[in-house]
Amino acid sequence: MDTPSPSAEVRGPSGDAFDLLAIPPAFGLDLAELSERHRALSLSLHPDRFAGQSAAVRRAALQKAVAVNEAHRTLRDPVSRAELLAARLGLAAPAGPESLEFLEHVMELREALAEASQARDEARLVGLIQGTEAERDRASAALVVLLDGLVSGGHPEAMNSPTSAVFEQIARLRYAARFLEAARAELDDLS
Amino acid sequence: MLLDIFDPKAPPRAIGIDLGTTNSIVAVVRDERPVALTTCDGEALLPSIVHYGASGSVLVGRAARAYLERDPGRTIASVKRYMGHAHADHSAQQLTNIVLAVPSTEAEEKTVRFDLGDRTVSPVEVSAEILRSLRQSAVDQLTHVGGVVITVPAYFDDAQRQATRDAARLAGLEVLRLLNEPTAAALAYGLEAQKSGTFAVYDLGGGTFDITVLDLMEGVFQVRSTGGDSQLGGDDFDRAIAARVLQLQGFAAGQSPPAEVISLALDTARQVKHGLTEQESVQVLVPVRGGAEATFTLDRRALRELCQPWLDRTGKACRRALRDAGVEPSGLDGVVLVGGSTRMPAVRDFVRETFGREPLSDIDPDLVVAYGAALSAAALSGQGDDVLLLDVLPLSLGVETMGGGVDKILPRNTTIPAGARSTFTTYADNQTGFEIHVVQGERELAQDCRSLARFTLRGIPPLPAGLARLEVHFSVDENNLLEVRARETTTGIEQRVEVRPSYGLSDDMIEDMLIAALEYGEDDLERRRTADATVEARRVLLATKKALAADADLLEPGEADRVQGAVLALEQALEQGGSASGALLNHRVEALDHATREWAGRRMNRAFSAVLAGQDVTTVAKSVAAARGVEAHVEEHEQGRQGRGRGSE
Repeated sequence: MDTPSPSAEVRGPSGDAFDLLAIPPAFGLDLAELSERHRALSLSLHPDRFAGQSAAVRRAALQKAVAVNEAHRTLRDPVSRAELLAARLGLAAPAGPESLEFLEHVMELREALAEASQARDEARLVGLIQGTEAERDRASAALVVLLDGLVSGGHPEAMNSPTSAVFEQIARLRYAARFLEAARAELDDLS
Repeated sequence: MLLDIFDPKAPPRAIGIDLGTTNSIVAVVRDERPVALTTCDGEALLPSIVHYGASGSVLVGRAARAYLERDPGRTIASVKRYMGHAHADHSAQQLTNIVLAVPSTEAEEKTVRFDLGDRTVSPVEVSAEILRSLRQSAVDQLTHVGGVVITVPAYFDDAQRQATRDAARLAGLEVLRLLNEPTAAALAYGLEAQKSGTFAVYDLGGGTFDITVLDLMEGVFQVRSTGGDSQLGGDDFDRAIAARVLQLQGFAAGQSPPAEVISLALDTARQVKHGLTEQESVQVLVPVRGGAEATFTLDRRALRELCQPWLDRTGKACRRALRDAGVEPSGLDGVVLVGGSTRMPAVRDFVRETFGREPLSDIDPDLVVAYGAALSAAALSGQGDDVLLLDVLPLSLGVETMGGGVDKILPRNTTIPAGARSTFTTYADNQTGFEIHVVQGERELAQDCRSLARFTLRGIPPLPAGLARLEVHFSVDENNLLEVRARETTTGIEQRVEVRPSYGLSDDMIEDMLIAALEYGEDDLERRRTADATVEARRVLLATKKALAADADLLEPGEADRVQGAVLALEQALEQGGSASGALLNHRVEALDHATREWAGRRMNRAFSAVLAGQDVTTVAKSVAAARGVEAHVEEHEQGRQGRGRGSE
């Protein structure tokens, strides 16, 4: 094929989402700053700003805008932001299943959700949601300490088994996000 | 009637069209303000009704409405509800006067058709008649009509959008953008009513419901979430009332009365509904069996009870949209009402209860969407306010997985343009082909989502199950068009598919309809294409010269010569002119495009770095200004073309 691949076409400030948006890598991000950066870049590079230009320019703008939107999406979501940081730090996800204790907790929550929605128990649903939100916030706080500590020069060896701790907190965060989505949908169905 | 003073040098004016279930409107920006143009009925609102006479005549608007009772079988109302739908989507017909044609082939099953008695028509053709009428009104009042922005419900899926595009093409309109209706309304509020902050737009029309949450900020309007139901609207209220009327007339539920009787009952229902907007209670006389008359009475409370099931559905969509946007009702700066059905007190009360605040209706809810479309058309053709709209995907896009599930590659409410990839693997030993089924929707099973495309990646090397790596990449451009690429990463075998959702009418069929609709058929089409190719060639040429003036330093050795060569070749083709030059021009434009491709990427990177370095205002404003300059030249040319070649209008 004679058409160059998109990555060869628009390689500019390369690298991952942090590099592309020139946001200093950290888990505890200033989300307002992130939005502002996204807005400024969109305002300048959205394909609509090049409506009268040639197809080549519009395509280049489109590819840039897609990359900017994708990077914004990655950094805005705490789970993908944590995964990206872990990858940047060269942390490898431990093989094998999550801890038995965590899996049991997940099963209990799922059952509680099923029971509450079957019984149309709004108060219990709200309780489950608030409990999970608190868990999510704890996982987030733990990741700020762990990941941002590593980013600012801490060595994995210096900490108490940090790699598995990082991935355990990411798993908790991911699980909480999924559970909250499902539980809130159930709550909507009730009201 | 407002008329522009005739000016032969007037540039073509971009227009906005609200193609509604009940009414359609065409608007334009005049002296920086959006105004609705007068339609063939002498009013802004053109009823979206088409009547096909037995003699072949076609009537649109109020003239067509007069036939709803006299000739219901040949009169189509609420066609928007059928756009992009298969016959099976409507096989369980609700109370309506429309007769569907029974499909005789598999191809015919894919698109619903209306049976007029002596022939059938598709929803696309019916919509095209409405658009053609609006276009004619615009041509009569503006002389030179440019591109058009047509609004669609945010919740329209790809097939419904494609059907709308095809209707515009049939009507001879150049579509600049299909704009989501609530976004259009928000644009009108942001620019006209000078609102800023986070708003919810509650849009209940005749046949569709949309809810959108968005941020209105200086220069950027960003949609945060959208949701809705493309099969819910004021028509449902009419049918619920009509069912009561028919009951009073002596028709049992489930019984199907003659089409004339249904038409009359629906008309009575609409009168009652409209009456209840002003009055607490309405009484009308209706004929009953045996020639007598009976009094049908309905008050506001009873209407609210009748509407409640549908209102609850809108409430659920509202809560989900707020949740997706991460906003509480109290965190909103306002709730905007859009669509004729929001005039109903029952709907206003419901919105007030749901959002806990008095909704806004500063701008006429019937016109606000068309105003937004006109403002967007002006902005996209460089004639209006400098505002950028960042819209989102209304429905998730994904790939069917083993076992019939869906892997959502781009979730709903992702900002567009968007791209994402996902990796799959083979499930059988020595599997050499991999079928990719692209689906759209929120349901967990692929069979419950809308199927957009299927294609097979072939030539995968025979490997044990699970070893081949298939990377599927989705990208959606600013027009909401999806492209899917699939690549086997160990061998690099790649396939690209531009997903054009098929809803039963193929490109060739649309082409045939287009030729049939033109006075001189194929010759006319050829002339139009040559004219379009000339406009595009001049645009590209000018843009390239401006780019050379600004960014020639980014050209690599050898590349400069190739670009210059392509520019010269295109200039020569333009000088040649002649009737057969369309294909040559397109070819040379493509060659120039190819020669400038990598350079364009480098120029974009320069602009990108400038933004990051905080110089966005100067650098980027320059390139935008360059684009605007191009428009002026194209307009000049466009005029010449319209002045010469449009004798028939």
